[in-house]
Amino acid sequence: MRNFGFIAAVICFALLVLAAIFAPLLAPYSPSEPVHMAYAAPDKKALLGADSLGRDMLSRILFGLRYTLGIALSVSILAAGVGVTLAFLAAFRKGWTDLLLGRLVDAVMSVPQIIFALVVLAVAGVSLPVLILTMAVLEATLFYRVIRPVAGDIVAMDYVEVARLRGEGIGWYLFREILPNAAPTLIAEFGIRIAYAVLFISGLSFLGVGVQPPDADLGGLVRENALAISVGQLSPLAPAVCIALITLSVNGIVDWFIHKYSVRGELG
Amino acid sequence: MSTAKRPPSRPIRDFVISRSLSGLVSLILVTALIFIGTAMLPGDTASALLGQNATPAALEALRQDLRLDDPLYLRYFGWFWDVLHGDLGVSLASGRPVSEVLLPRLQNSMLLALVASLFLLPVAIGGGIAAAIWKDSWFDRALGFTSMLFLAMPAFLVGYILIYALSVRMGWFPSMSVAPLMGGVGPWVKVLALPVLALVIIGQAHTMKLTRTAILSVLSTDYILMAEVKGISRRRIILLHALPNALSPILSISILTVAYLIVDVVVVEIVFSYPGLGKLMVDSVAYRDLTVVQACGLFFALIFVAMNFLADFLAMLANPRQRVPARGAV
Amino acid sequence: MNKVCGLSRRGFLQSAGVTALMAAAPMAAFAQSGPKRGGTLAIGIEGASTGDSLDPRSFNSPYWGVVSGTIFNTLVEIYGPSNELRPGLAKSWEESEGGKRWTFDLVEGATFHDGRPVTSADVIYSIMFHDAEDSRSNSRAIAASVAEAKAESPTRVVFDLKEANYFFPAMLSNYPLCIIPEGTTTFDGIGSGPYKITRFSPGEMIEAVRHEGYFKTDAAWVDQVVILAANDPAARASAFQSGQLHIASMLESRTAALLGQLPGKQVHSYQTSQFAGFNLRADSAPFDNADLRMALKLAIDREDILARVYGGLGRIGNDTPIPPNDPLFAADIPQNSYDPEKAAEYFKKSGFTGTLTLQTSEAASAAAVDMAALFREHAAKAGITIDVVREPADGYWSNVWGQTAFHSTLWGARPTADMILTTAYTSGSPGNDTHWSNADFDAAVTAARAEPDEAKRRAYYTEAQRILSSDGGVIVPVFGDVVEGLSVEVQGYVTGTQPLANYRAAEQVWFA
Repeated sequence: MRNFGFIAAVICFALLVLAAIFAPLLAPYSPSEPVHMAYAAPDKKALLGADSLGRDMLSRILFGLRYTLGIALSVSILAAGVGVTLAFLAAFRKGWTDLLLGRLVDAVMSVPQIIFALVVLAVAGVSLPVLILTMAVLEATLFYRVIRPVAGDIVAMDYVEVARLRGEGIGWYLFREILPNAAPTLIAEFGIRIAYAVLFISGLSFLGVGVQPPDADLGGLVRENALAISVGQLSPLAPAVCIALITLSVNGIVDWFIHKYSVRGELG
Repeated sequence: MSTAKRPPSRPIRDFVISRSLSGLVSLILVTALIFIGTAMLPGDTASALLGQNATPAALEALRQDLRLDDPLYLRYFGWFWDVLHGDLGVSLASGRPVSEVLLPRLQNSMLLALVASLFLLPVAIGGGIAAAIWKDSWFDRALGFTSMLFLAMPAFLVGYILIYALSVRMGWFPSMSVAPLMGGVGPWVKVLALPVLALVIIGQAHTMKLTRTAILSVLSTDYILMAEVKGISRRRIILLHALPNALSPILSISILTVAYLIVDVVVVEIVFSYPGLGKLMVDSVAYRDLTVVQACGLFFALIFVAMNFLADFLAMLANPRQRVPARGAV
Repeated sequence: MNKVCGLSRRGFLQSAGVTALMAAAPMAAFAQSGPKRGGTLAIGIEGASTGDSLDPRSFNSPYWGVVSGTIFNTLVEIYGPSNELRPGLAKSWEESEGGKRWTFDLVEGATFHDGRPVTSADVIYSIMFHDAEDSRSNSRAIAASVAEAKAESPTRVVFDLKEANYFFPAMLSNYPLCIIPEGTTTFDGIGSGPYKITRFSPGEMIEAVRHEGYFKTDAAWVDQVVILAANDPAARASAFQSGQLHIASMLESRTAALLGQLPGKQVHSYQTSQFAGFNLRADSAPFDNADLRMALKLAIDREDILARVYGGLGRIGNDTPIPPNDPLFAADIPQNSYDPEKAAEYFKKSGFTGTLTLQTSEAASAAAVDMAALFREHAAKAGITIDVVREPADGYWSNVWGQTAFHSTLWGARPTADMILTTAYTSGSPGNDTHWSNADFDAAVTAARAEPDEAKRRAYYTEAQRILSSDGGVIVPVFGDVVEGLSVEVQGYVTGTQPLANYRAAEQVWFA
């Protein structure tokens, strides 16, 4: 049963990633060219109908997938790098470093993420690099929060203590002891953060500060066509369902992984 | 090792002192962060307020009104001093006291969060306990799947579906969650229905998962394992032994859920046009109303820090192992 | 592809025709029962913010226009689709000294919500405080044009203007120029209007109940009015459909036909001279080159924009601010229209190579953002590469508009053609957002204003439009109509040229 879910999730995620990679080949039309009537209903020519300007919905979703997945992945990788490094640094150094990092993370986390992002994006202007950096900083605090206790436990483990007494350097710890020990938690957290980043970028685009028109990620597509829903046209639900599919499949994979490696339970 | 030097006998007092101090530091950091951030916003309040019809003379008049020409640090310290004296300042955009702008919104946010948690917590915690009792049963799996499904849905999707189905099609509830005062309590019930429903759908999965995990982690402790070995039924173990021990984690989960429902529901507020604190802050950022943005930031941070403090405190009381601050001498 | 959301193209065009008809003859279009009292009217419109106040000098959005028309009165009112002037608090007015002196006689028996009578002192205070030193009113120029305001009697006011102005009474219908008690400094919404405020939640709603002493006896039928801040078009449309709003203004035109087909709802549109367009800054590179300006004017498909952005509800623009329905519209000058080949020729002739960056923003309306996306596609067919950048709404008017080479602009309706031509396109005007300067154009506009003969005046305005259309720095592709939705039980509504029956819908309508 669980394996079945896992396989379904992997296939679904792989298909979405492939669709994103090969979007230019798969898309029947250009994502920016109005080829149908505005709000056209789905038919043979426009499989998922058209958006408010008559652009092909399917093509826009395929290109939107690129943005959503690309941003979520780059954010998670960046955030994992920064968050994990800092968490282990704090666990290893303890004292002031730990305290300072802890306070900083607390401070950043004590403002709702979306509000924090809105202020930063308003200050720095909305552009792809700023968007990714802002999200990465916010996500890094979450990585830090989850990894820091794990790192603390690992650093306190007997054999690490022994190694420390032996006088090994920090690099030795990190690669020989700490990372292999933290890997399951790390991988599970990474998956959860990808799913979260997908929802986060969708939320930002929905609020109008994400990917900017005429380009659009999946969240932006929902916003652009929100009006259609109110007149009973369901085309904007297609990108929203896509978002749900991504997070669902990622969660499915993570879920399987957590059980397989019995990662600590409080994740997610 | 600074931690090792602390007397291990007074963990609670230490916890309270250190967390209060760190909470204060967080608040200062957050407000300074937002203050600098808002001050750096492109354009300025004056021109944002006047829009396209601004004349240079009117702009200058407004700039002087708002004292926008003072240096940043002066404005921050002035603001902080005033806040300590209970004065949140005056809204730059409307000239009304910030507290007057903010308090009704704070009340709205609290009301929504409380009503939502009234429905959310019993459902989510009950579901979590049931899932733990029947771990790995079809029920647990079905619950796990639905919670995963809801976790995967963007908040606006849930909101739009509710608006389309229950408001536009059925006409049961208003799609914009604002109520005239003239109608009394009745309209408020209708007004809150959709945002509350949306929050319950979006928020329950997380709380349910946390509850299940908390119960299961109590179940994995030695004495419960012992009870299992003795042959006591799993249901009995959970209800009589695990649940009492899991009470404080569940309590702290509930507190965090309420905190989440107050501070992190901007998208839901916007989808339903609900006049909460989050929507106020988003609007005020767009409108350059620095004093209101500041005050919103302060309140968000305050609620979040206080709720987290409470949750961690309860969790600490519940978990004796964490009370020992150091792992002994190295 | 002949479907619009499941509706055939033919049906769509037909219903578009019906809405146009309704705009032309609003009263004839639906059956009316006699006025009767009662009910609570809910209105939804955009332009409210949490920073709002009840100071009339801060009124600067459709929302506040509606509040003004519900809570207050102006001296003169504008009525109907042809901008007919009607008495407000002034029952009559007359001009003397060649348009330099205007005398207004006030109606008898008008009272404020607190019972005080409305006098000429209140009127003078309410108009002139827009020109006070700290005023940020959008009507300041109107108050500033008054040299002296005198109260000849409690019911007679005389305005001596600095310069002759035959449009002065029409200008006094501007919604911020509403009458409040003399000496008001704390603005609590006391006015003389049909409804008095019972609750003001900035950025949320205003509630008001009928002012029993209202001086118009054949108006103010509903008991209560709720004006909801519905800034998001999607929220407005949903609330209208769900019945939460009886009247929703400024609906998305592309959904007009669909909304109009719903049971119990009717949708109609009115024509306006408001426009969203593109500015080409004419005083600096690259757009100081007239060929490049013309290339872009020919590289935009106006019909496509009309169809896709405005759902076919609107009129094609000719790169001047004067719409085809304006009496002064120059119909016999060449119309700029989409011609990719000719555009490419002009583009080549201009010598410019490279990419043009078009800055746009929601601040200049959602239509502006859509238009920019379409413009990019149209221009690409002429070999002109446009890069669209969406700027944040905040800061747009101060940092982008009127500053950068190529950006979206938005101009609201002005009462007269002269006003918009002078404000936006004459050399050196502070509102000249294209920085275009043309001595012949300036001369034509100045001559027109001073010309007493109507035919000659029209000739001057035609010349001005010809110069602006062929040489100017603004692209005005379309004048989009404004779409409003009404529940069928709302009766007595007469569409105007501004939202909500020229903002005075609340006193006009009743429930069937």
